[in-house]
Amino acid sequence: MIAKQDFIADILPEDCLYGLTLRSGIARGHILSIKVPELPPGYKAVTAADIPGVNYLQCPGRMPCLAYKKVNFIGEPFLLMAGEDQAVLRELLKLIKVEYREEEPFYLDGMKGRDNKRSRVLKRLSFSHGKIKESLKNAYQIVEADYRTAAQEHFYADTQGAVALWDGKSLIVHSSTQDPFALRDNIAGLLALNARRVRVIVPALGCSLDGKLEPSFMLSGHAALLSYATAKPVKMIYSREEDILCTCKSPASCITHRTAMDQEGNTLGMQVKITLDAGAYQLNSAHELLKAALSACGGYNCPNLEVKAQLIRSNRVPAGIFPGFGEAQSFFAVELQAARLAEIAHEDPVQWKRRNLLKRGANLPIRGKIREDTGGLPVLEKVVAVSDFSRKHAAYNALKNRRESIANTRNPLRGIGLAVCLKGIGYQGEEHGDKGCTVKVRLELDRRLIIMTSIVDNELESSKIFKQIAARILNIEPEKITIAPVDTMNIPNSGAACTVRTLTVVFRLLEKCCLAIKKKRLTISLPIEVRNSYKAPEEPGWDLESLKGSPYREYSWGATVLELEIDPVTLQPNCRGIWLAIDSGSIVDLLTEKLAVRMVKRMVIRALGYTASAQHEPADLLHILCPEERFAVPGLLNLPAIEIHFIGQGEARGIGDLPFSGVAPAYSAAVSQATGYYIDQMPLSPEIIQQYMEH
Amino acid sequence: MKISFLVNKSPITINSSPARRLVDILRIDLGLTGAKEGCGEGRCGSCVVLMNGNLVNSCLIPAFKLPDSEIVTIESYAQSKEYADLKQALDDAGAFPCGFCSSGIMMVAGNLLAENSSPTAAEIREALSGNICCCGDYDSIIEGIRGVTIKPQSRRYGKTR
Amino acid sequence: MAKPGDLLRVLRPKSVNGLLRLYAKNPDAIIFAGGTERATREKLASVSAESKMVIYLGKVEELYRIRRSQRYLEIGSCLPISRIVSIGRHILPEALSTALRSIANPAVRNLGTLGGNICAAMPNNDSLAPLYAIDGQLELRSVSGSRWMPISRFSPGAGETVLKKGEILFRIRIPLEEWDYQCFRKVSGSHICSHSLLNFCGLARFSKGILEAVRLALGGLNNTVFRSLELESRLEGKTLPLSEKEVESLLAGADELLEPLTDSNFSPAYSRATGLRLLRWFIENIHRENR
Repeated sequence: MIAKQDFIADILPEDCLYGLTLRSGIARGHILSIKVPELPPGYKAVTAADIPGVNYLQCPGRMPCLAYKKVNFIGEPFLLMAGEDQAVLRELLKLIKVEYREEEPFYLDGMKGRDNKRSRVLKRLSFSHGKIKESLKNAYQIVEADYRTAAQEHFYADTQGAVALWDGKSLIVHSSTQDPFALRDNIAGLLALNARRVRVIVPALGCSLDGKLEPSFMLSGHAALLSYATAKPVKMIYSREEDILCTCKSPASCITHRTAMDQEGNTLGMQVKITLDAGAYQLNSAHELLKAALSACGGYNCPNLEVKAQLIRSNRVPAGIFPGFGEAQSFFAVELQAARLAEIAHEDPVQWKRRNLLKRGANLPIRGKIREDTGGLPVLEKVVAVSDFSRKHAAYNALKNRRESIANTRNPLRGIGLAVCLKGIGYQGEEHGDKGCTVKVRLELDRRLIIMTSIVDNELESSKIFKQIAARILNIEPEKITIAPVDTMNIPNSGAACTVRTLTVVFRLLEKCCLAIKKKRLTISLPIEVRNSYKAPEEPGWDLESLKGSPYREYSWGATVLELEIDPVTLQPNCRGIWLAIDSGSIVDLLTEKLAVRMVKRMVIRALGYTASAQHEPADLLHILCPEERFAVPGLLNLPAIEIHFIGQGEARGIGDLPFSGVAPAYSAAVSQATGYYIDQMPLSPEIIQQYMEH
Repeated sequence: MKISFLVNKSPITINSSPARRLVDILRIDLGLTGAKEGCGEGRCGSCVVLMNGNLVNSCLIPAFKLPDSEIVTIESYAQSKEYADLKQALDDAGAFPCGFCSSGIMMVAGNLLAENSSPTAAEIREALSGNICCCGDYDSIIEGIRGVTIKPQSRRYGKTR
Repeated sequence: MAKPGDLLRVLRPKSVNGLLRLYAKNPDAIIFAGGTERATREKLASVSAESKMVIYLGKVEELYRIRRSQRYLEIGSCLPISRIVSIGRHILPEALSTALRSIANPAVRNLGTLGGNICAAMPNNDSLAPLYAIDGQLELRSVSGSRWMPISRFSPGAGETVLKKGEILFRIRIPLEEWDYQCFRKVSGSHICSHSLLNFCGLARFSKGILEAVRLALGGLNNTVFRSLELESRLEGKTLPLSEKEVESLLAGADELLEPLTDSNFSPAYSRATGLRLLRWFIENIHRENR
């Protein structure tokens, strides 16, 4: 897909001003005063007081568009300025004097595991089944451990931006966003306008990795406010540094597992405590908490289970939607715990998983039913076979046992890790994200076909597949098929672009539209326009309060093996191979195998990047981050060989972000084996491995 | 200051602050938005152009270096047959889901292929070590670049290996 | 309104004498060569805001020369790294060549200069450990004349140099000695980083199982590149392979001399432990290289 296409940074209207943002330098406190110097003509400053409508964005959770007096994280915006020249703007911003009254911030303090007393619990969630207390009492032994993941950065290629044009009556916003309609509604609220007066156009987007949702609402809101105030077009593009400073991260997590085991090494019960850090504002974290809680015991059969999950508020950048979405955090913890349990039971990890994974047709308490044609074993067996896991694992274990310590070893330290994850597809709770998702297709007089949807999902190469689907059904050459530019004036609302929805809902709707056109073409003259919307079932399939029903329509499974070696001198892990077996139905009905493999490989590479890149504590952010950490995406050198196998049958389900759930625990398990230490945190670095060595 | 230099073989004269970066001059003043800014510090390779025959990161070139220099951007390279062959091979391999890094990578790949008509995978990796694909699409990119070498070479490139 | 940067004066001397005269008259000017350190938007903005003058070295031909004699290779301070690597392909000491080829990425190496890498004086800069190991020498010039010094005297601390006002690094002299074993290793922060946070250069010459000469330099650990003549002389004359006791004694000696920076990107504990592991690894490998 190489074409001369305009990303948000390439859009530059005539007579356009630039906009810059002044951000809080403290993590928590109050702004006492802001002294803006006299501004040269053509330069204008805007604060919360100038917002005509409501000063919040709905993501759906709320956050202020501009902080008014209270600030809650380093980098929270509170003043905007527009002007002709960016260099002048930067100098002017430096001249603004801000007086703060600073208060003690609170954090998850993730790496130490204790949350600061003053942290606030935003939400609690718990469920249990069976008799956990008894199983703990009757246990032969209890295995307890804490697992931690840090907040992570998205690293999409194109930094976020917005260009807003207010003409006195209505507003056009070009925005790098994955959800143009939600953005439109937010801006309408901000400017006290009817939604019809706001038009959102989405230019070319990089692989957004779910990073261009909440922050896009805020950034576009800022550009809109400046344009409104100056009556001129205003363009705002974040530099990479600013993007890293202020856009949403994944929620940091701290998860404690207590597993009761009997003398034979069987798991009697699991008690799991989950804490997720929502950051300064709760945006989508409640849903992430739910997903984390539902994945707490992973893909395993657990007769007695208790899950207690809490979402806390801290003074860091708000957490947003992120690949993994709560599940990755849970799988990290449960898969590492499973590795530990297998070792304590003196059992080969594959054998342990064979015994404990949910089988076909299993009834999951709380989580519904596993379909008859799926289960954890097929992906496990496949990945173990293609990676030669058992033999290598035994061999590396032997090496580890012969070693005295890694301090004096000369040879590379080898390890191989295994993780099996499942992904719930099609959430059936009341807050149904797919509700109202609509696709429109139009066959013109000249037989050109136009596909209209708000979804552009480069992850999935969606535009290519839309054309393939339409070409196949309607027998039209792909050259005659156009995807309409994403413009809220012309296209229907298909919801936010996210891989699962695109695959399982949007493709289906497109198919229906094309089939309808095919039928109508026989009797009706051109042009023909058809629209189809997703019909959510009348009754939600799941009730959060009573836990009745099934939270998901179905499940997909993914098993990951990751092999690495650690340089004994530098303690640098080097990944040698990654194998992934996926059961998501016959995905190759919808995507060609080549495309599906490509897509998953890309996700694996990014997931690999996440194993090494961390978000630092807020105060450290711009000062200590070494240049690489500011842009920590794997480059070409040192990439491992990656093998993807699809083994599913039946109707295609989503893959979602399975790779993001599997790679991190497999990586950590491999490092654990290679070093002989129980690794319990992510991301990892040679220094962290050194710390394990010393304790 | 007034700066005169060649861009894609055309003489250009602009009025620019000496500290303005080439990436901004190209993208904003000259409307050549093929080069992108991904990091602003020479790490991601999205802004790569040719300067006096050498690949450089245009985000690290201040205007005062430009007088009498010759800049070639993707817009010029995209007119060539070599580009068309490379693009076809990359499309066949399914490369570039989003395309943001594509102009930087194609500048580097084009330069590599002009010097070495059938590079090994290792040579391709080395040449592209300064280009980051945030989509993680490296396998397709390498496949595409190698794919172009399998096609029969035009006489211009001389013998194949 | 005058924009920042409009007031920036850029001088482009065409000869080294012209350059030195200009620099003597304007000692607060910022010297600009490759620009890979200084040309990010923020740095250019602060140059524009604070200093009113830049002296750009791009036209000073003498700074781009590379010259070889029997015993030395002399490299002008403004020659881009990629040019040094390609011209010096068969001449440069292998460890230095490896180090230069590992700097950043190809496009940055087309711009960055050896002079810039040295004058930035960050002890983890890749060219420094090899230059310390091979006893590189630097020629500094000003209107008052020229002086040579070993590279080990050039930087008293991280980011600092002994350059006087009006003085530039003119060229780098590299002794062309024969070494039986040369190595350069770079340590970065993660599997996705190529940024060097620690590096090591080791050189060895041996004959008939005796270690005749050895050089050990660690960059990125201490305030400046670490090299100890005392430790090296302890090893010279020893029979290979060294006994475990000899290795331990050497490492203990090194341990005392290492003072890891506390404000670098690596933890001091990791830096120290890795530095010692690098030394041990090198010494044990000489033994393997020695057939």
